[in-house]
Amino acid sequence: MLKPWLYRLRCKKILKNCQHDFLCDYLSAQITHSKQEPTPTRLLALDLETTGLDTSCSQVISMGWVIIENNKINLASARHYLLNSSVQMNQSAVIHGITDSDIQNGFAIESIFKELIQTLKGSCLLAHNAVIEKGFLNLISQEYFSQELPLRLIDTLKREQQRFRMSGQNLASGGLRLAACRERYNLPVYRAHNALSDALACAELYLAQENY
Amino acid sequence: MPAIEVKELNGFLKQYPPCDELSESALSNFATNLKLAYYKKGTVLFHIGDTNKTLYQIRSGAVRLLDQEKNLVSKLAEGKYFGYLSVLAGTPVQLQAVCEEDCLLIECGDTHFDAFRKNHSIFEKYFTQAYGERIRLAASVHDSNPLSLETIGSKLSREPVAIDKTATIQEAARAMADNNVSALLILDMQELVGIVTDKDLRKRVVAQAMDISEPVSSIMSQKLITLDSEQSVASALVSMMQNNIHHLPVLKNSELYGVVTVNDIARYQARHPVFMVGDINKQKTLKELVAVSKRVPELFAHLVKMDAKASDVGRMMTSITDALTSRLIELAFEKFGHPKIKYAWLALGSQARNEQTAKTDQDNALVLANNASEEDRTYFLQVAEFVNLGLDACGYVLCPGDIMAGNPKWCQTLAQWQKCFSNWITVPEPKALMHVNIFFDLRCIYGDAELINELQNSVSSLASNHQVFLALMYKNSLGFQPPLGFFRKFVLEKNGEHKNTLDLKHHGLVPIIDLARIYILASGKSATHTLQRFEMLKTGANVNTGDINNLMDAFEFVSYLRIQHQGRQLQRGIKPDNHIKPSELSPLVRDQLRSAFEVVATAQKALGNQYAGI
Repeated sequence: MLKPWLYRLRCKKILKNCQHDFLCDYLSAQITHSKQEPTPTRLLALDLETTGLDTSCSQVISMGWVIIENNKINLASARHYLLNSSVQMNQSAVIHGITDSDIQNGFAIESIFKELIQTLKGSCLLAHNAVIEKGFLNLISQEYFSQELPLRLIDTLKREQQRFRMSGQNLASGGLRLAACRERYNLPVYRAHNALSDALACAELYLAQENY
Repeated sequence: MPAIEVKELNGFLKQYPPCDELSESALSNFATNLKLAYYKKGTVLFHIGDTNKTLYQIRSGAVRLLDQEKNLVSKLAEGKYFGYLSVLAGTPVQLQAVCEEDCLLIECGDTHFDAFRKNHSIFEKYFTQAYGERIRLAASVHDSNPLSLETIGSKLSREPVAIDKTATIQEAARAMADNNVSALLILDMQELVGIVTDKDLRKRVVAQAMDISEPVSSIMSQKLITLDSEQSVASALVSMMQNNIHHLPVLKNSELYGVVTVNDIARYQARHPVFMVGDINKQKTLKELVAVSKRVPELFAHLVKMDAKASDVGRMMTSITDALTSRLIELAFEKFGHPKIKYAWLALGSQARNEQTAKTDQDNALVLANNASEEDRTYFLQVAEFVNLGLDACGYVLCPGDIMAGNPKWCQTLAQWQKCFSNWITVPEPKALMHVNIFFDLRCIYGDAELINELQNSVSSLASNHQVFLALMYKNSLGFQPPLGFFRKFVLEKNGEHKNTLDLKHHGLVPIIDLARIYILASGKSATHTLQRFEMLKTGANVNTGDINNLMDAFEFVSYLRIQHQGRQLQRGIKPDNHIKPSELSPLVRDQLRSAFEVVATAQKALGNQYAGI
């Protein structure tokens, strides 16, 4: 995570020339919150399902998120959206179980992105292997705001990696995958594989990590 | 924004009751308002005495529940709920919850829990039943007693023998001889109208040299007490003892099914109080009565050992006190001559309520007809003194508060009694009321019950209209409270002979008895037995049947613990008392006792709100 003062500085800079009301809202909230809270009390655990890992040629096809407040996952905040996109589903459909017709009936990415930004206001973004989420959110942000979206990012994968590095233990290959991490904390096995259940799985992992 | 279903979670919830019975939409509705939290092994979720507003379900991991002494009460695994008792009762938690492993817990806040229960009866039933069960389980331990389980229907030795009411006495006697029965049922158009026994033939026909061609209906007993074939053998015994009869017609689906006799039951239960009542009635002198009554403690110990229900034991023990009292009165009449006016001998307190146990003193009074002269009064005081001393000799020690018929203050005419009660009720005085509580439980043991009915009716209609009186009764009842401290620990006696014990009677039973009395007085109805009072109150408008059931269970449970305790003392040759050491109880029973006390404390508080303004 970026140093809070550096983060605030960046937000302030963007805020100066910001022309989008809800982005302004988001930025000013981020500034005050990051100042008040040395440790985050509100996090949004996000998972995106995409057609591939490369942001330049892949698209987001679904989003799922859930909020952690005061160390409890609030299930009332859980959201899951399929997005309307132009791409043809190829073999990634096998992973996601999402078909072409699902995508045609999906939500417009703009409205969902807006909802996400509003919900994320005053919070940290939480994800497992957050570079992916960060990359795609920046891509969408560039498209609509013509600029990068400043995020306070917490990555459960990085936290796990750090933990192992500190303890001097060796990590088996694949040991940083979400399911493998969860197993170490005695968390239940999740069979379903969609954006929401992965977001929830990530949120649970975060709570477990917080306890160790 | 429609509810978003979290498939993994819904799938999990659906595996366990009561969520397995919810519809998909109800389940989603329930699930979307939950929270999830992670707790490390060893985390204490709540301490005893904490306020808890959360229902927990274990998503993964395990939780231990511990009592005050850190004894393990239960270990909960995945899928199990906990914390609902304190949420339902709104009382501080009674057990400590500790994470045995790292746990992921599903949390449901009290507002959502309450709202959801209100809208989904499956849910409501599941949790309130689990709540009631803890006490109910405890109250039903004696169900293993074969005597109370077996039905009368299974004990009948033969088909009923009956005759039409137009038959002559001789025809009836022949029918009895031919069928070798000691009781004959009398029918009118196939409808049961009476019964004739061997005793009736002796007493009413032979002894009176009656014409045997008269119709049998002229000698039959008409006030019939009947039983249903599904009732327990124990209830048949109780009925026989209370009415001192040895034959009971049994009905099945309201149709005549047979006759159960004392002998039918005796085959199963040779040593039984019903025989003692008969013995008592046969004794001719005080000395003989004292000898018979020596068997009372032994009988009590036997009943306890049989694991009889506390309410049954109470009724049986009281039947014996009643029989002894009646017999003593008869002996007094033989000694001092028979009374010239109408009168009624009253039992008060536990005897009136049919709730006596092994340790009992006597509480009684006399009501004389209004035409009693000074001479009559002197005569009755003599009789009463004889009976009081006689009961004392039989083991029913003189009342320390001097509430006995031999006290001139409590041997009065009906008019004086009415004035007395009316004073207590209309111009109540807190201190004075404390001592007369016992008079509001009264029952006629001997003499003219009419006199008492009149008194009782005027009392119940008067009492229900006097809020100040009821409020004072309530205030006085708070003198005895369930022995639970701030942290829901048992509060033990601090000094004296019974140091470090719990007084089951004064702190467990008396508060419940007081509640039942106040409620029944307020309702304007009349009943004497505590359970009977509650039963009657269930039909009332402003009481919650669930609360009443819980109070009844608590009463039966504490009573049961008390008689078990006294039974053990008798067996060890110790004088029975009401003081129990918590260390003698198993952790489970201690927990149940605590639940019972909680129920009482809650009910006391609820009644308090009703009289708060007075």
